[in-house]
Amino acid sequence: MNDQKNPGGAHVAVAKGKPSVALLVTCLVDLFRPAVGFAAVKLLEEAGYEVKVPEQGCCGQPNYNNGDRQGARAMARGTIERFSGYDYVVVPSGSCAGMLRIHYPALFEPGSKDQQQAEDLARRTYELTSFLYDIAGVTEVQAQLSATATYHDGCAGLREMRVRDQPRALLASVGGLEIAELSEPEVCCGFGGTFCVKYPDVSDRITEKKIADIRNTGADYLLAGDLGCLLTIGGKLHRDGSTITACHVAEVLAGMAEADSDADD
Amino acid sequence: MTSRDAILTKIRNARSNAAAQIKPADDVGIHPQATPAGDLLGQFIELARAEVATVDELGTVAEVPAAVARYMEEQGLGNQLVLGPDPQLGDLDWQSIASLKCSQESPHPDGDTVITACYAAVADSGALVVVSSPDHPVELNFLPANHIVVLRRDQVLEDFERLWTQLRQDYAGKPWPRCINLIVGPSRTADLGFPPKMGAHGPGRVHILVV
Amino acid sequence: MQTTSLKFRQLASQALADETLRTALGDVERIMPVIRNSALDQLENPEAWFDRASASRDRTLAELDVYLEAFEQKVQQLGGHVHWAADGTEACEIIAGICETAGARTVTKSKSMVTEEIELNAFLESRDMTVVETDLGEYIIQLRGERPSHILAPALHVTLSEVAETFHRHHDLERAAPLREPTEMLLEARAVLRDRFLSADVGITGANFLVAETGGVVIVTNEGNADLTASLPDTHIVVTGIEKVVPTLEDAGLMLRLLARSAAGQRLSTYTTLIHGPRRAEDSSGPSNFHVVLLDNGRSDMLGTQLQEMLRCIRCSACINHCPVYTAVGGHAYGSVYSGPMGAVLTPGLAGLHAAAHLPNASTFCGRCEEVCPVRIPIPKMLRYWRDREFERRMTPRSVRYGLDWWTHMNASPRIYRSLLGIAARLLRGLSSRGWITRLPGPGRAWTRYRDMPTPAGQTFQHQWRRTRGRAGES
Repeated sequence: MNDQKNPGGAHVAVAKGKPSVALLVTCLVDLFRPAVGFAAVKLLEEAGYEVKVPEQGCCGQPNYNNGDRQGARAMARGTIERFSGYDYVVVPSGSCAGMLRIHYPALFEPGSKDQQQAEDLARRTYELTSFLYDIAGVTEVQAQLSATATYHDGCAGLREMRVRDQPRALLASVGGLEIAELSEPEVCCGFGGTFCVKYPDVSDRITEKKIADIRNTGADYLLAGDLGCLLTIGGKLHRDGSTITACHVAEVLAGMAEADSDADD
Repeated sequence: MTSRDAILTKIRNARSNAAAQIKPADDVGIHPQATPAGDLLGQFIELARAEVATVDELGTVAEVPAAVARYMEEQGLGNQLVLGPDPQLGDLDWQSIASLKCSQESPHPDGDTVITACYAAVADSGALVVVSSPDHPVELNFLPANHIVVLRRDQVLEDFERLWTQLRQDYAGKPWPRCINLIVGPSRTADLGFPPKMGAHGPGRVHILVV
Repeated sequence: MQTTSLKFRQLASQALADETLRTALGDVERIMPVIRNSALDQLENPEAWFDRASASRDRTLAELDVYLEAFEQKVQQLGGHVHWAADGTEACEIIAGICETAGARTVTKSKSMVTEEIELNAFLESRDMTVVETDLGEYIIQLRGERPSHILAPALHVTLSEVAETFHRHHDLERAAPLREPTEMLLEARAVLRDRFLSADVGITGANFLVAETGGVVIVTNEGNADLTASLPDTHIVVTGIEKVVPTLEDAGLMLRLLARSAAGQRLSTYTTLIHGPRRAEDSSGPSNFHVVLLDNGRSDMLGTQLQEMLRCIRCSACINHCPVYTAVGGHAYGSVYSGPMGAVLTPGLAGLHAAAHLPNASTFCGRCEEVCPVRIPIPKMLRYWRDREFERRMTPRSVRYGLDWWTHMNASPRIYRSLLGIAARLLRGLSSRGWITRLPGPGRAWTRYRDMPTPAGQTFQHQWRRTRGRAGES
């Protein structure tokens, strides 16, 4: 294990010979919740990886899902180029990871150089918790959180990246944490990317049902592996005056769930 | 160009592979489910009962008239029984059961109880299989309020695949039966809410006499 | 095919406000996945059955002409007639012609989505025929002058008290006591429809499958209405899509196992019927005339395209029952006889993309439809296919197109992207109060109409990373 400083801390020396992980931080984490990115870095470094953060932008999913293949291809090419050369690419989002793993190869002409590069990236790309559990062999974390939490399976993580048991296994090792399962953990939260602003009232009804399920668990925390789901559900929980905290699973695993997220450093 | 030709041409233009032919059934890559070969009858009865059919296990076919009379009395179904044209059933000793009034006419639209034989039963789905013939007009299965079916123990098959095989053998060189009906319990509808309500257009009771 | 899909937004909003619909959809959402799962668990390894079923469907679609011609030949040998209809109008003309030849005044029908698709009832009524739907749900909505809100449970949206009221109004029950119990309503409908069955001149049914090997038409119901429709009148017309053919009885058996389980959590539907042609010389009953109308109506256009896999569909409705959008808004919002995920793919194919523009967009891409599909139709991929066509044809709203274009440009250089995110973070912080934003301008308004948005927590991740970990962490 690497001698890890706190995420806001100074430069961390990394030993030579460690496998490298490039973190694709995602737009939403980048903008709204940098702590998720630092939590991911901490977990990956503790697992013995050399973490790099290449210059990066959006993976192109909004364009891809709205029919703009050309725009999506342009962004995919940028991501492919900037994330080449690392042993692994890890994403604290099932949705953006699914974009790289499943959809990038489908964007390009079969057999083309672009497609070969997309396939190469796809093979190296993992969602964070499945990377930690399946690849890094992490089975427990040192974190503590005295609370009851429930876990929502983000759709793309679940169905595209096969993330289901890994976050639960890791969460089970968090000291003091009780997991109360939702009755329908695998039902969509209503986010759906641009869907939530294109059809806001439909989206809201779907979120409303998800929140009823969450409330029934009696949990203090709602956890998920995708910030899109968390902003959607958390935003409505706050509007409803709920005290339930929406939190990324990485923050809990890294012991950062109760940190002051407003701090600059 | 007729619509037939136009449609077929469009289909042919869309496909790239060479002319195909219907493959024999053993080439479709379907492997019958591993049904426990043991107690087929037991499995059939369990599933038929789960689908709200009632089942009475008898000894020989000669016991059928008395069992019918008993069932109809228990259920309060009156004494009118339609036998249909099937000589297998018509030849049973119905006279000895004084309480029953048997007829061979087609069922009255409502209220009647009909008894028929069947062709087979499928253990893995609880389905009775009846095939239409001059002896067994198809409407006998659907018009009556109550349908009593006589099933021989040796008629129970494991699954659909065995049924298809047996039908192919029995109807080799002959036209297929006009209607092959698989029947699982009484008629029902889910259009008036959950759970489904029994007795929609078809029989509201299906009673199986195993001989 | 008529649609009101362009009004999806408005129809969806109305549906969301309908509390009785909400209760009905809540039942679907709560009950259907549970009974489907338990029925599929009876099959050892259901996923392997899905593989077999989708392979069987693909094999059929790859050689569709062969199986259709074989089916046609078998039906003809059995003494039946096969008609080919390029579109809905031709199908309606063919069917009306058969009915007129039979001197039909009353036509009974069992539930058929294809006849909804071609709007057959209105066509026959315009030729002075009385058309009676016999599936209970379809009968209820026929009396109410509505369209189906679910492909298998067409009257899903109608409450029991509305059913009672409908029967009261249409059945001459003015002075009778109101119907209260579902069983009373069932008996009432059964009695009225029994007379219709017995007096009909022509019976029209759909088909779940056509078996090329035998010329058999497979029809599945739980009520038994299709069998009475098919066997009592002197003429039986089967109307179905060209994709419904399967090669052999084994293929049919495979589909039947999955259909009943996926559709209604049953091992097998109550009645599964295989019909081979008209009555025989020796038969005492059964229809003398037997016709099969094979409808194309846009289906062959999907063959050989990225939409071909949609033709695997066996109309089980599992995708509908598991869809978060369908279970929020119900079937009528889609404005098409085919609703939910399968409808969102099929409707643009059958009615044209212009008539169905919203439908491919009204999905969260949660992927549950593909997960539950017994023939593994990649529905999200097909919805994306339609979104791509909309974008290409400039049907995507201009604001969205410009927005995406702008986003692509902002992402052309990571430096521009980083500054943009930095500006966004500052702007959002300016709108914030106590860590939350309750009202956003512009496109963000749709978000804050229903939810709050957390304030960006300080500077962006990339900014903080570059500052704290310096260039050492970058490539």
